[in-house]
Amino acid sequence: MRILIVEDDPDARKVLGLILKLDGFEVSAVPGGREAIQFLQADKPDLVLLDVIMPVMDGYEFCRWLRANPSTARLPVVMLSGRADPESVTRGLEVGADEYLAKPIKPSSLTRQLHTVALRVAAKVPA
Amino acid sequence: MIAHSIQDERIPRYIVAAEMLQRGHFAINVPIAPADDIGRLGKALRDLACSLDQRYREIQHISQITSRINAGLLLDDILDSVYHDFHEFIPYNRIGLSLLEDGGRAVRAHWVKSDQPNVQLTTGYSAPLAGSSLETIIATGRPRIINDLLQHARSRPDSESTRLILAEGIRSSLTCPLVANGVPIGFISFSSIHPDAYANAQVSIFEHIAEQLSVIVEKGCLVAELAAQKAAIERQNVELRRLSELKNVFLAIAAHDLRNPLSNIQLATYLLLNPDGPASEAERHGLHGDIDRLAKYMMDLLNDLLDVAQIESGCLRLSPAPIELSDLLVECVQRHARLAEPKGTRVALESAPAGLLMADAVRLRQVMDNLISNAIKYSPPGSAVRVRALRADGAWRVEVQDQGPGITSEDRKQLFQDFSRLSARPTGGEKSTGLGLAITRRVIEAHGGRIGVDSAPGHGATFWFTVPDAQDHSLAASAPGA
Repeated sequence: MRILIVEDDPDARKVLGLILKLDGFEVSAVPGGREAIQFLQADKPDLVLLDVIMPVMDGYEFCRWLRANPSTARLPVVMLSGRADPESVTRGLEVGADEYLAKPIKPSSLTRQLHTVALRVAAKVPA
Repeated sequence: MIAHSIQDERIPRYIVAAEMLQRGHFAINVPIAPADDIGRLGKALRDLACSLDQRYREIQHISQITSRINAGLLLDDILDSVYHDFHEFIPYNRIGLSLLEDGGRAVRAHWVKSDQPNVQLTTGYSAPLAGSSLETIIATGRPRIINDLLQHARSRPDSESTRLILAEGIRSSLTCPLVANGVPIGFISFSSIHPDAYANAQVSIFEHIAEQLSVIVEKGCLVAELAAQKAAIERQNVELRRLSELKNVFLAIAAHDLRNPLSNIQLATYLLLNPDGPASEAERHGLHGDIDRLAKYMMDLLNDLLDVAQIESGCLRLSPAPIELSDLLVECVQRHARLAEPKGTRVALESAPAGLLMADAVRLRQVMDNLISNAIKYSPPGSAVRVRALRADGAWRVEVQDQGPGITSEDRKQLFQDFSRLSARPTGGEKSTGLGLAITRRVIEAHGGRIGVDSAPGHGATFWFTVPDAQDHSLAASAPGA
C-alpha cells in the first residue's frame, strides 16, 4: 500500500515515514498542499496522511481540492493534527476526511487505523 | 391733627393690608392720597408689599431653577445650566468654579465659561490658597464683591490670578464660598466686564444661591467621581477580557505547538525501542539527535510562552543601566557568526559608534539574538547578515539586514504579533516558536522605542529598532500591550 504524507514539519515527515516503512508501506512525503497537488499529477497513492495546520495551503483546503477533483474524490484521507478540539475534528470530517487522528498518535496502532480506513473507503466504492 | 388721624378712614384699610402681608399675601391695594403723613404710611406699605412680592418671586424662581439644575447629574452639565439660567438674577460675562484640593491647601479652576473671547485663567489653573484673597472668603464664609478689579490688582500686585482675569477684560466680580456639610469645598465667581456690576447686589440672594450650589456641586463631584470609577472599572474589564482571550488563544496554540514535537519525540522513541526499528547506527544516532533537538525546541517554546505571559500581565521589570552598545553588538555578532558557520552564512558588524545606551542589558541581548538568528534562519546558505548601529534624533537605531526572501506585505501586518505564521520558511530546517518578534516588540516598546522592518519581497529585509535616550521605564513597563 502506498501512502502520501503531506506534512510541513520535517521531523514529523521523517519519523512518520520511518514508522510506516517499518510497517511495510511504500511512503512518499511532501511539505504542503501545493506540493501534494503537483505530486498527484504524476502519481496516485492509496491513502493520504494529511497534516492540518500548514502555511500557504492547509489540510482543510487541500482536502476540499481533493474531493472536488474527480480523479481524487474517493482517495482515502486520514487527517493527523495537533488540534484535538471538537470544532477542528468536525471541520476535518466536513471537508471530506475519512478519519481524523489527534496527535500524539499511538504508533503501534497507526498501521491498523490506516488499513481500516482504506478498507472502509474501498467497501463504499462501487466495483 | 391727632384727632383727625385717628379717625382717618384709611387706617383700618392699612391694618387689614398689614395683616395680609403678614399672612403672605402681597397683592394689596391701599390708598396713598392725599400725601399727608398717613398717605406716606400707605405708600410705604405699598412699597413694602411690592418689594416683598419681588423677593418672594425671586426666591421662588431660584428654587425652581436650582431644583431643575439639581436634576442634572454631571457637574459640568449642572454648571452649564447655572451659566444659562442665572442671567436674570446676576449680571455676568463669566462664571468660574474653583475647588479646593490638597486638603484645602490649594485651589484649582475646575470649570470656566465666558462670553469673552480670550479666557486666560483656564480649567486646571492651580494656586496655593495661603496668602490669596480667597482665604478671607473661606475665613468669613461670606460672599465677596470686588467693584473695581484694576484697583484691587494695584493693592495685590503679586496676584497671578488677578492679572489673568484682568487680561480677560473682567473688571468686577462676586465670589461666593461653597460649603458642604460645614466644610469649605470651593468658590463660584460671577464676573463682569463692567466695574461696579455687583455694587447694588443683594448679597443675601447670592448666599442663598451659593448654599444651593454647594449641595449641587458636592453631588456633582460625587457623581463625577463615581463616573470616573465606573469608567476605570470598565477599562479594567476590557483589559481583563483581552488578557483572558489572549490566554485562551495562547493555550490552544501552545497545546498544538507543544503536541507536535512531543508527538515526534514519541514516534522517534517508538522507533528506537522497536526491535525491528532502524538497525544502522547512523539512523539511530540521527533519531537521538532529533529527540534532543525537539526537546530543546519545546523548552524554547515554553520559555517564550512564559516570557509573553510575564510581559502581558505587566510584569516586565526592566533594569536599565548604561550599556556600551558597540561592546554588546560585537559580542552578539561574533557569537552568531560562529553559530551560522555550518550554514555558510556570514554575520558582520558594519558600524557601531562608541557611546552609552540606557537599556536592560539582558533584554537588549535577547532582542539582538532574536533579530540576528531570524536573519540567519531565513537567509539562503552562503548569504550575508549585516548589523549596524547609528545615532539619530536623540535615539540609538540598530539595523539587522539580511539577503533572505524579504517580507510580503501580507506577512508584514502580522510579523510582530503572537504566533505569527509566515509564508517564509527557515532555510536550514530551523524551528520557530512564532513568538520571538512579538517578544522583541514588547521589549523595545517597554524601552520607549520603536521597531519595524523595511523590505521588498525578493530583496531581503532590514529589521530595525530605536531606543530613545530619555525613557520613562516605570510607565512603559506598567503598560502591557501598549
